[in-house]
Amino acid sequence: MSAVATPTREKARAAGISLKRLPRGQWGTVLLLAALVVADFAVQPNLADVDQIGLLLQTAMPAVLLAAAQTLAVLSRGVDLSVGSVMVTTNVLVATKLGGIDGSHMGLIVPIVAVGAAAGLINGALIAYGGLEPFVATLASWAIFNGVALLILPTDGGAVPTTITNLVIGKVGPIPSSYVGVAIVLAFWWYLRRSPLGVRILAVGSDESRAFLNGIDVRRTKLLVYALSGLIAGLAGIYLAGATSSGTPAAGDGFLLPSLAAVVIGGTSLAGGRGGIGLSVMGVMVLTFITDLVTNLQLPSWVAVVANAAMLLLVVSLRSLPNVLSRKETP
Amino acid sequence: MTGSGIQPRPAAVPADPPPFGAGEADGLRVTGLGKSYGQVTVLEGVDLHARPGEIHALLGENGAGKSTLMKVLSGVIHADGGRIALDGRELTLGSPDAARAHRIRTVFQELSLVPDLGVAENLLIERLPRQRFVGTIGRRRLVREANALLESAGLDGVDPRTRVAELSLAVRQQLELVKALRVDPSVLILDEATSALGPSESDWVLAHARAQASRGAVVIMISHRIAEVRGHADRLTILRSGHSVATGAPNAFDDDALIEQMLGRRVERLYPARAPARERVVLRAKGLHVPGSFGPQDLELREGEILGIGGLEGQGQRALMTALAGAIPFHGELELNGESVSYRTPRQAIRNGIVLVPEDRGAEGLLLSHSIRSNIALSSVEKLRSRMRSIDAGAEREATEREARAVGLDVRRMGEPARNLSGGNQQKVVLARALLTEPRVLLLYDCTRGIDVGSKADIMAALAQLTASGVAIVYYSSDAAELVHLCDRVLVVRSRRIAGVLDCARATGEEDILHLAVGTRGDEEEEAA
Repeated sequence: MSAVATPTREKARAAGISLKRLPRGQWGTVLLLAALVVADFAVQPNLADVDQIGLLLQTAMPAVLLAAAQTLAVLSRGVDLSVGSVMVTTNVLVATKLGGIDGSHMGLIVPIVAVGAAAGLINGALIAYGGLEPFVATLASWAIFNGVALLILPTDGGAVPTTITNLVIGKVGPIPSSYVGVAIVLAFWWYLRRSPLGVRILAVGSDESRAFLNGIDVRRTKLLVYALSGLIAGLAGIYLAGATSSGTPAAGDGFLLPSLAAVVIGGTSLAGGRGGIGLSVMGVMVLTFITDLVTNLQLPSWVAVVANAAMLLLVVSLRSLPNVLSRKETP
Repeated sequence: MTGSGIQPRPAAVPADPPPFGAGEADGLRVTGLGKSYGQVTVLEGVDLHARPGEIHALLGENGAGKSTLMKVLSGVIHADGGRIALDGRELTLGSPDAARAHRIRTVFQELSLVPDLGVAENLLIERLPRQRFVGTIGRRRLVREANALLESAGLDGVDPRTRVAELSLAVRQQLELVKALRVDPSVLILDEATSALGPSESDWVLAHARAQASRGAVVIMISHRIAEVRGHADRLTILRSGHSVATGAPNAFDDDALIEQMLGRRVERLYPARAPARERVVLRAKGLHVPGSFGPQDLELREGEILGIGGLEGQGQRALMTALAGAIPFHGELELNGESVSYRTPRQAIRNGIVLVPEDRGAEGLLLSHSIRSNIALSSVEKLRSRMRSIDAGAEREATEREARAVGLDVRRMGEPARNLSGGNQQKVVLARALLTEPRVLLLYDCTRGIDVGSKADIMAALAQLTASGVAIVYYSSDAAELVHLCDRVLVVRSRRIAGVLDCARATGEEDILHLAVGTRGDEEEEAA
């Protein structure tokens, strides 16, 4: 039957060109995003410009990174509440330890990146080997790293090396570097999804005991998930420092729930095993364009907050609508 | 090692020092194996010797320790004592990986396929093909290798890109075997690998088992189908309460002897004598119609009756049962005790005294981490409360124990989590829960699938008791023998219609059901069902 699919179709599918690859129910999100983009461009015609969109992506980039970090945790059937606080930890380190705008201690960027990964490793160790629930373990580290950030830099301030600032706000050839940033995130997911680690993460998130029966080292996989999540959250902190040219120790919590919202809007299952970073990037874009649209319409800022929530409900309801209509629950 | 074709194994295995057991072609030898959890001994002094080239059946009641033994052999759990040797070499099976390294493969009853991954990824999960340099998984190669595996196993109808969760239980069960065959296993363990399968798929599995044995592999098969064991096993070993109690060729035991060995007591009759159904009609359906799945058909259910639903699988029986349970929408009229009723949810159906016991006790029936007691009480929480305001622990205990006894559960274990129970006992818990709601009509969907003879006898006895008290039962089963022996009437469904109604009081055999099911006999017996 389907085993005799024509070679060309085979090729197209194998190369990932098939439309079937977008999970069912995700088309709503794509259409929603398209509608938001069109509306935003209609309200603000000069937005449809490479640089303007670049600026929008630059604002969205920390959220994109955190959503990516969160997605990994959620895919493994966990959650990482510490993404925002790990982000501000590396953020204030960049703003205080690299020697100001000259970046005289630029070499310290390597241990700062390592701090993010180390924070994630601690989460991972507590969850994988300490047997703690991801919610509990990362709730603790959420508080701890928020405290650490405030300890290092009690109020907004500090100075960020121009090297980093230029990297964030600069261009690669004709295009703003934020495009490259998003592209790197997507490429990372593309690679991960095709690597054995990616398969292991999905397997563990889908069904831990079955993954174990298949010889997958469940604990090691979880450790790596949270380490990667911490690493990416740390990178988000460095990016944020470059984008704002300062350290913002209290900014983390504002990013936490949106990172989960983006994961959900994108369509990654909170039950683990299904979804991906690509979808979550789409989720971040939905949130970004709503906020931008509200701003461009000169509506009060609370509207954006409510609109974000409305989108979340809308997308999730649309997704479950087919099930509700056909009453597919089994007896 | 990676080829999936069936190749003859060289007669002499490259010789490593053979110190223990009887040498090279000795097969799998288990001696004095023991395993306990705290105070509970699950296995004690178990001996098993399965020779290369034979299919060795492992029989026993649920809870006898078969699954534990299989898990020890697959490295999932560790034995406390005893030795395991393969071809004379002693094995240490500390992890699934260790068992895998010795090419011991298990087709698990609790399937090991990961639902959210594709067929190809699942089949090749142990060694995913990597691309050179970049280290990514080669999608094209993955699909190609999976296709080759599927084709060589005769399952080429399955698209390797499908998500496993979208496949039927039967196909997943078959894929589980394909996955095991990939490595030319030295020991192939089939843990009730045919329980979810129809006859032709079972034959497919058993043919593969035979082919592996002919290749020189040790094949161990756990099955509750005695006919299957007689037809396919070369030798068998019987476990009872964690001990190996008998071993030999299948024809060395007659059916009574087999059952006696398994139970340690004589089961008088599997199917108890029942009082005939009464004349009064409890449930009457007119024009019951689930568009695209069943009907429209009429049917009647009498007080104290067991109405069997038979036929080949997937003819609309499931739609009929779930519609009656209020779980899916349907057209038509229903009368309960002469009064017209309508309900659209299982909850409303339960209020009307119509209760479904679903097929998949693991996924749909039980909260595995909750105690047996609270599982039984689950559907009756409101009833237990309305009488006593808050849930009265004493009343709950009393009520749940009464139902537990009725289905033959050990009431001393009521506080244990349901996951500790064997499949047969879990099924009894689901049944006890349904009984506690005091149903007038009980809908049983394949409730004896994959459970052992002892549990089955207990359930049959409980059903006989129920009908004696006037409860009416609609009983779907894929086992024709069960329908003929248990039911008053059997309604055979074919292509969404009732192909015929058999009266079991008259001389009716399994072949009558089959004839109606496949349509080799007309619908002449169709009366007003």
